Amino acid sequence: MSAPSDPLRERLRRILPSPAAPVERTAASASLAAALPSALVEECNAAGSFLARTTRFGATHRHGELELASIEHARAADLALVARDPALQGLAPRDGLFLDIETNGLQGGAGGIAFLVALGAFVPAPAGERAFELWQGFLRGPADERALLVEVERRVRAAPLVVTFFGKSFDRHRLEDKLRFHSLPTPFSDKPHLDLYWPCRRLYGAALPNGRLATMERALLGFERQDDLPGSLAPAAWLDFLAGRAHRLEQVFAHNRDDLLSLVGLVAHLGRAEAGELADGRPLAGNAETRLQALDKLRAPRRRR
Amino acid sequence: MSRDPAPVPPTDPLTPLHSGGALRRDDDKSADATQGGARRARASSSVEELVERLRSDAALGRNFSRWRVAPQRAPQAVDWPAALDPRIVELYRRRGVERPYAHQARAIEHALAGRDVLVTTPTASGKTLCYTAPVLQSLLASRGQARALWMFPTKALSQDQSSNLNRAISDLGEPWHSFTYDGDTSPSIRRTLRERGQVVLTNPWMLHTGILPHHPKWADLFRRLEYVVIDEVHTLCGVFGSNVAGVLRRLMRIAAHYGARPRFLLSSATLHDPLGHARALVGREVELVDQDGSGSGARHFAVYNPPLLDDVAGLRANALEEARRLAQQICGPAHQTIFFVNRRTAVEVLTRYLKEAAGELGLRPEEVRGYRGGYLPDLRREIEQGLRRGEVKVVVSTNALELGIDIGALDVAVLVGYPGNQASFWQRAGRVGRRARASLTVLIARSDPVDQYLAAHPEYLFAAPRERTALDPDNLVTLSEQLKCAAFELPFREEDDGSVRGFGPSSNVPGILDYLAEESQLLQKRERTWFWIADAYPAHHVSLAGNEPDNVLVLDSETDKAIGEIDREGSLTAVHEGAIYQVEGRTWKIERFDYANRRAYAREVDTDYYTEAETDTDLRVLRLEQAAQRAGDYAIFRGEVHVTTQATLFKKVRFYTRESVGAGQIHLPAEEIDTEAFALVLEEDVAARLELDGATWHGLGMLVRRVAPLYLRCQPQDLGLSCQIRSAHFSRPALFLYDRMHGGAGLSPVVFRAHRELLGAALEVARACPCRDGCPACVGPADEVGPLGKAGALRVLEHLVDGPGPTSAGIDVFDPPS
Repeated sequence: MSAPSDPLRERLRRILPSPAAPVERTAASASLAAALPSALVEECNAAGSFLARTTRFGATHRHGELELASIEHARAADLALVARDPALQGLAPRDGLFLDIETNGLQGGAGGIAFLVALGAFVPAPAGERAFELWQGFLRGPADERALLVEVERRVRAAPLVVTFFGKSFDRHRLEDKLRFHSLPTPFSDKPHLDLYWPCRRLYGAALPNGRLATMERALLGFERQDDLPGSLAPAAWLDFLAGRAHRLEQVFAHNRDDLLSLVGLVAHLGRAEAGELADGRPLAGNAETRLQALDKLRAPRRRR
Repeated sequence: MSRDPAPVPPTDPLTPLHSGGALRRDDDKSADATQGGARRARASSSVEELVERLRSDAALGRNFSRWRVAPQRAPQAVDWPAALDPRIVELYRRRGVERPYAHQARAIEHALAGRDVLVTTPTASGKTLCYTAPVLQSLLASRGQARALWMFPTKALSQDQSSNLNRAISDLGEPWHSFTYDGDTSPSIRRTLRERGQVVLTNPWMLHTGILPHHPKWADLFRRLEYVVIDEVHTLCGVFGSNVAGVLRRLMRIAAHYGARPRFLLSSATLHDPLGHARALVGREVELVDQDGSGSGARHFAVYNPPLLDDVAGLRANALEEARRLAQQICGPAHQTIFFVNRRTAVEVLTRYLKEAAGELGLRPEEVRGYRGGYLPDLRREIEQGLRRGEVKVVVSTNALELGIDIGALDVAVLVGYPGNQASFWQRAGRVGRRARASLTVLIARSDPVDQYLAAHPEYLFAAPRERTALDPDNLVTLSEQLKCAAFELPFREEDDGSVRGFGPSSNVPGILDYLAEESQLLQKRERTWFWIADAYPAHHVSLAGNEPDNVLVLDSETDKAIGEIDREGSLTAVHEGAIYQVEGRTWKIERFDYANRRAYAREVDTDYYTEAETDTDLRVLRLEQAAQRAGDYAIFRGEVHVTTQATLFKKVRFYTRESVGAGQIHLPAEEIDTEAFALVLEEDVAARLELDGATWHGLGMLVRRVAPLYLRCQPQDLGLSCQIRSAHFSRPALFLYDRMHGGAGLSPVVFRAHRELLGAALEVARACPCRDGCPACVGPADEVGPLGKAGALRVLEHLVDGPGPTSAGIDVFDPPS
């Protein structure tokens, strides 16, 4: 490593454009491990290792106004209709693998890194009920990437259905790019994929200011985030962590967790779109007028192009 | 100069020329399709008659300084290489290529044997076949599994080649595809193309920003990549070429990541040092194929020097006006003529004139066409087709028709002004000449040192190329910027000895990566590996042309529309408040220059003057790296310098008369760059003996700078000039030529090596120039260099050129001569 005062370094400082905004350099915290989010354990495989945290939520856990268990009453037919995807017809929504990633930025390309991958699924619980298990795989640095991707690939390949919010346009491609980068198989090709972004837009877009997840979860699930770190700050939080400042990382994990729980809630909601009410008889939240109009359009035979 | 054949006196009979490969031509870029056919064979008399007519013309004949002829030459056909798949042989036979030319066979043999190849035979010698056949072979052998990447310097070329290649593939009866991937490719079909195409045709910019940074999407291409074909590699030089060399390093790193090691198939115009150029570009030793086996008809060449209008001022008739006069003798229905001009406006001016005069030339106006980059694609295709079919008799073009767009072979080429380098000259000349028919190329010399040098020394054009290409991918700025892009694409690993492999020989690579990690915070080093971590897409911020992204946009204040763009350094003198900014003959006055935001606002005005800004350039030596001296006389150096350029005031100069009609102050911050320079330092007593003064020194510097394109591939404006009559660093007279590019463009080492030739050419030009006290064609007008400037510059040049060159003996860069 060249000393900061060597001639090459001096020359580079003179001739290279300086970074757009000077990056602040504060001292690294005393111990990296101490500042890491809690309950992270190291997972190893043939490709290396990474950290992961597993969190269980009971079936009665409430996310906004819905219990996670309400997904049991979501109907595949309703989801197939609102998602315009007949392949969803015969699949039980609660068998889905819920997926959401946090990246080092929105730019894409080979240098894009998914540093946090959340995968959630309902699993059998001791009491004969089901629990929702959230698994968050995390990169301590870019060197962990391959090992994390191997595990993500394994889990996705085993799932009958993938559920995301905008994932057909973003998360899936980011993961596929990095899987190809590492010459790993890509499990998404023929995998049924329910992307909640489009149905939400179709049913409620006309009544809401935008199609973002935060907007949808507030309107449809009545969920208000506490002390949320906006997703746009996640890249900086990870870069801070790499530079030895892990203070915002717990918030990224929490944000990512809330994203994933909202996916479950939205499936529970959209799976009752035709019924117009939840299984317990409560009317569906959200603008009923735009929903009914959209459903009418969806039911009409599609014009041939 | 002594190596050149003796100049042929203008009155000599036509002299056969035996100068080797550079003169032989054959049909056109699509020689694959046509070379065996009896195409458009016409009587061979008309160009010969035209040559006689021009030579004996009472008014024009004496302006031709030289005539040369390369005699007709029979093609050298050989057997197809035994290793070539019979289906490919059959394909070419059906297209009329019974047997290949010797150079084509040799190139194919090298490629099939797994070697990297560079073909430098002339335009239209059937180079396309040299790289198409091996690629088709790899497709056949792998049953369509193999992939190839073809890179062309322009979009139009890749479109042309893609349709050629697809025709060849479908003639083989295979379901494979080639496709063009560039900025015009619709995003909706990109994915399909990526997954289905066997051959991807693209350009350096798309490779740099679109393909390499997204290599995972192209994993199939890279995994099976067998060939990288690069056409016209002579265009890849200077800052642009150095960056492309970096792009190619990135490409090979990515291919290696996916387990492939593609071979390079390169083609080029003739070059000074083709193997060195290829080595710098692709980092490998390549096999050179330079013996042209295609045939050609007799080829006549002449240099036309417009008559002197004013002996004292050295003023010659305008080259474009002379082109009009020549057109009256040359253009007609019997043959096809192409005029090459160096400016877009000149295309329009000359085209309009020739259309108006069409009747007198025996032509219909629609048989005369203009052609340049700004025309819409459909119009260009129509003109190209008209040329191929022989319907268009006269075309006036910029360099847009210089590179291999298929327009068939024409009969007469008139170059209005030297295009700036030998490769371009030969590319333009290569547009004429059919196999069974004579052709003519005329170069009209302008009042410019290089053009006048060539008028006096046309043999320069015919000898082996002498311009050195500056190609320096390890230049610190280029290397750093390309490393940034490369690190985004794949991590870099540190070897046990601390070095980094796979990105050229520079020992600076690890230090730069550390800098990008520690100071730019783009990378993170863990476990001896540098990983990209930042939220950024570096290729978007790294320009291949080397221009800093903060070019100044010139906007119309009324419509807010852009009317032009100018680089940062040029903006000081071109778009200061009060400057007259010219676009295609229209004049705009700059009302406001928003320096901070890189925008200049202009209003269109009708003026009878233009503006010339004066600058003060201060050059400070930072570090010297190389030196040589003629002891006690003069020394040369190369090293890093810091240049500050400050625009001070501007003059308003009336068009045509050049009289000064006013002046103004310029208030702009100074521009500062760190770059590399060549320095020529004269001993004090020698300078005193030669009576050197500031104006003389400046005139000499101007001349050396302007002849530089004879020996290095660049434009004069790529080099900055600082003439110091007493340099602070050397305490003696010093003349600096520096790269006008932050970080350097690799020109100064070339100037260092070629400085004797530059001084020699400058002396020749000044000696041969008929002016009395200096003119724009030599040291500059007398009112700039002073009444004794020309004589003084001649004296100094004679002294420097006379005697041996400097050597590195007894001189140390840290120890200026004392």
